[in-house]
Order: sequence, then C-alpha cells, then structure tokens
Amino acid sequence: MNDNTIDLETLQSRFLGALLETEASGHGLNGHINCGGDAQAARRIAIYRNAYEVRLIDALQDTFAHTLLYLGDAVFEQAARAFIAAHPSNHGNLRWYGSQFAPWLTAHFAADPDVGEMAELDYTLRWAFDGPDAKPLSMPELALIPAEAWETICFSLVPTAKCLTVRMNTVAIWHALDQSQPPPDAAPLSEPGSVLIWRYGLQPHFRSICKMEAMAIQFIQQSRSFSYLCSELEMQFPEISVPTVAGALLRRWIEDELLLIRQD
Amino acid sequence: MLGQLSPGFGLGLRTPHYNDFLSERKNVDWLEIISENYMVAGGKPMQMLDDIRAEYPMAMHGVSMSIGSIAGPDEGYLRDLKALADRVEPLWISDHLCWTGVHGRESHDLLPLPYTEEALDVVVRNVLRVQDVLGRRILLENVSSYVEFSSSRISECEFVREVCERADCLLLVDINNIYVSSRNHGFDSVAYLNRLPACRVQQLHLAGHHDQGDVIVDTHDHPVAASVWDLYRHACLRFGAVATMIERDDHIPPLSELIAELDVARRIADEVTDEQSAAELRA
Repeated sequence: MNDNTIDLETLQSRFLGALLETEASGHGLNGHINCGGDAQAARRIAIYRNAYEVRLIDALQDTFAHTLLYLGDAVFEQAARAFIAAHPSNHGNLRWYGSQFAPWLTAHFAADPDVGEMAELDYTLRWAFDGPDAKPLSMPELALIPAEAWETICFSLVPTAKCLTVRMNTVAIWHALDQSQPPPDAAPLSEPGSVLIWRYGLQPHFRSICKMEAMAIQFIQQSRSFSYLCSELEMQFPEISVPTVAGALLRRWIEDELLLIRQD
Repeated sequence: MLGQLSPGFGLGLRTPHYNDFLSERKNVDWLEIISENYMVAGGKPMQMLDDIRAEYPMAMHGVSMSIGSIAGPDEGYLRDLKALADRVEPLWISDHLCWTGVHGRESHDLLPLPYTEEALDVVVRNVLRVQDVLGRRILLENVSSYVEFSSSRISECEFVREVCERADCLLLVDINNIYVSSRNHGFDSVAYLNRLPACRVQQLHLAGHHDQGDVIVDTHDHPVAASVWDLYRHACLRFGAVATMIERDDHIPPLSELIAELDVARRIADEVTDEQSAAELRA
C-alpha cells in the first residue's frame, strides 16, 4: 500500500500507535504527514503524544489527590508515567481512567503497603463522589416499620458504601495530609482495621469502624436479615448487650445516611 | 437558517463556578456543559447540573463521540448521551469533527481526519446514525490540528461543507481553532470562514491558545487572542447573530473575568450589527 492509498483504519491505527509510543521515531507515519519533512512531522506528533500523557497524568492527579500529596509531585509523576505506559486508556470518558492504578501502586510499592492503601482510599472516595444516588432511610421511616416485620426485615447500604481493610496507619496519614500537616511515619496497625466509605449529602466521607460494626456491615452487604445479624453478634460478642448495641448502630447508620430497606 | 435563533452569549460551565451561578443570576444567556462530565451515576455533578439547568438554558458539548472512527460512536455512549439529553433538554448537542480512538484504545484528544472520500463516507454514515438515535440534528465543530495528512484530497473547509450537506447536520464554528490551524498549516482563515455554509452555523466558540512561534497549541488556558477577536468580527459579518461562547478549560479565572471577556464578544457583535444597519440605511 503506497502513501496515497493508505486507508482510514490503518492511518488511525498508526497515528494512535505513534501517540502511545514513548519514542518519537519509528511511528510508521513517515510520508503520510504534510509538515515540511519527517522531522517536523515527528515534532508535531510529539504535541499530541505530550497532550495524551498530560491528560492522563492530570486525571490520575485529580482522582488520587492524597496519594499525590503523600508521594510528592516527582515520584507520583514518575509512577503515573510508568502506569500510563503499561495501561493505555480504553474508556472514552477520562473519568474512568485509573481504576487499576491503586492495585498497580500496591505492586509497584510492595515494600510500602501504605501507598497502595492510600490510593485505594482515594479511588473509593472518588467513586463515592459521583456514584449512584439513593434516598436513605430516615428515623421517622424506621419508626413506621411494624413490629412483626423485624423478624425478617433486611437492610442494605446506600450504593456508594464500601468497606476497605487497612493494615497500615493510612487513615492517620490521610488526615494529616488533608490538614496540610506532616504525616506520621508509616507503621503497621496492631491488627487490620476496617474503613467505611460512602457519600454523605454531596460529599464523600469515611470513618474507621470497629470489628463489631465491620461484622454487622458485612452481614448487611451479604443480604442477611437484621435478626440474623443480631443473633450472630450475640454469638461473636457475648459480652455486649445486643439490643442496645444494634439499636445504636441502626441510629448511627441512619444519621450517616447509610441505610436502605432492602426491596427484593 | 436551518438551526434555531441565537439564545445570545454563553460560557462553558466549569466546576469552580458552580456556586457563582447558583448564588445570583449572571449576565450569561446560556451555558454549555461538557456532556461526559455528567455521564456519571449521581452525586454532586448531577445535583449541580439539575440546579443550574433550572436557571439557565444549556447546550451539550461532547468530546468523545469519535464521529470519524471506522467503528462509529459507541452504542453505550450514545445511549448515555440520549439519557443525558432527556434530562437536560438542551438547546442542542454538539461534538467534534474528528476521531478520538481506534481498536478500543482512546487518545482523549480530538485527532484530525484525512480529508478523503473514505473519511467523508465514514463521518456521514456516523452522523446519520447519531442523529437517528438522538432524534435531532447535531452540531459538528471544526478542530484545531498540528498535522495534515498527505492522503487528503480536499481542504478542511470543503470537507466540512460536504459533511454538512450530505449528513444534513449543523455547525459549531470554533473561531480559535480556525486561527490555530490556519497558522499551523498556512491557509487563509478568512477564506475558510467565507466557504462555510452560513445557514448551518448554529454556534461559535472562542478560546485562547499558546503561540510557540512555529506552531500554535490550542490550550484553552489563555484569554482570547487579538487575532482571534479579529476573525470573530469577520464571523459576525459573515454569519450574523449566532450563539457565541467562550471556552476556558485550564487556568480557569474567576467568573467575573470570563463574563468581562464575554462582554467583548457582545460589543464586537453589536458593532458589526450597527455597522451593517448603517450600511443598509445608506444603501
């Protein structure tokens, strides 16, 4: 196929290939671009290549804002460039780029698990920011539930709610960065902890939750009934008064705009 | 005139200005949203969209339709776009005369087409399909570019004319993009404007660029350049009263600065109208 008969698909494929390359040369477009010679053409293509990288780096910086603060501009950009080279974008909407960045950072900074945890927290918060809407259960609506329904009633969480497990003091680091304070040194927790993330009003929120609340949340996510949840808590935590604790959890979840009645 | 009457002078809706638009009515006739920014499930973007839409007419402007792709616009994308249009009830829907990706890989850029018969067929086929799905004419915008392909057989403006005629679509003429490409490729920007089908021009874009000397990069991070204002004056002469807006995507200034810049566009458009009225009276 000579220069004059190159078809659209081949041209687009080679052009995009040139954008995704890390080197300006050897892009397979020589002779196909009118810009005063191949060297000038390569320079013009470099404008597109640079724009491609900059857009994706900007998208990652936006989504992983606290990870950026934690790693610093230079280290973050170096990591972002390596990630971009290994993960060409395959979704038309830039909003969805970076879904694999947190796992990639976890592997890339294997000796520093706090980095991957920070990125996972950032990504989940972003997901909660513009995740699906739902009308959470209110206290007056809770009061209307008939007594006989409590035996079988199932709750669910608003669709933006997710639980993450952390093994490092990532939450303390996140808060320090958020308040422009020097972060504490990374350190493992005495035992893994749980972080609950969701959208409250229009803003993403998170809080650390204790082992008992994490277990209760897990039962809700597994579509277990509230009575099952209570009986399991009674078995696992015999020292607590389950009616008191379960009632307090319900009230907290409703105040946090976390709870829905499951409609099956 | 195949499109609607001009709603006046608008701005691109950007997140730093959400509260400004909600706090009090601004001297902005309409707003243009980036469609993809509201192709999310819910939360603040959709709440702000609904609240601001209640106060201002809106146009929807997309950046990822990829009308020049062999495979054509993604079916899911068109479904989401239609759903957004049903929610926004926009003045119109626009995207770019370009391609953005191929074989499942995305550039997130507005890449130039070769101006060939094959590309023309592809674009026309895709526009007809999109217009069928959306149930309305769409507007296509000329993009700025840094390369031209040796396989092109006609000029960009002839290509634009042909697409409009064959697909019966409308035009969003980006004045800055014409200027940028004319400098990068050495064509006459006024002659380009003169060849566009005036009856299909529904909207004009104005924006800033970065002049690197031997090449101009379309950055949307500066105020509109003097040379672009000159070309806008010519566009007003050529097209009459057409919806005009300013795009700023980076280094976004306070809203008051953009409104002041929009007032420059109003003044130029008014001056051209006055000059034309005076000339008609003399005649």
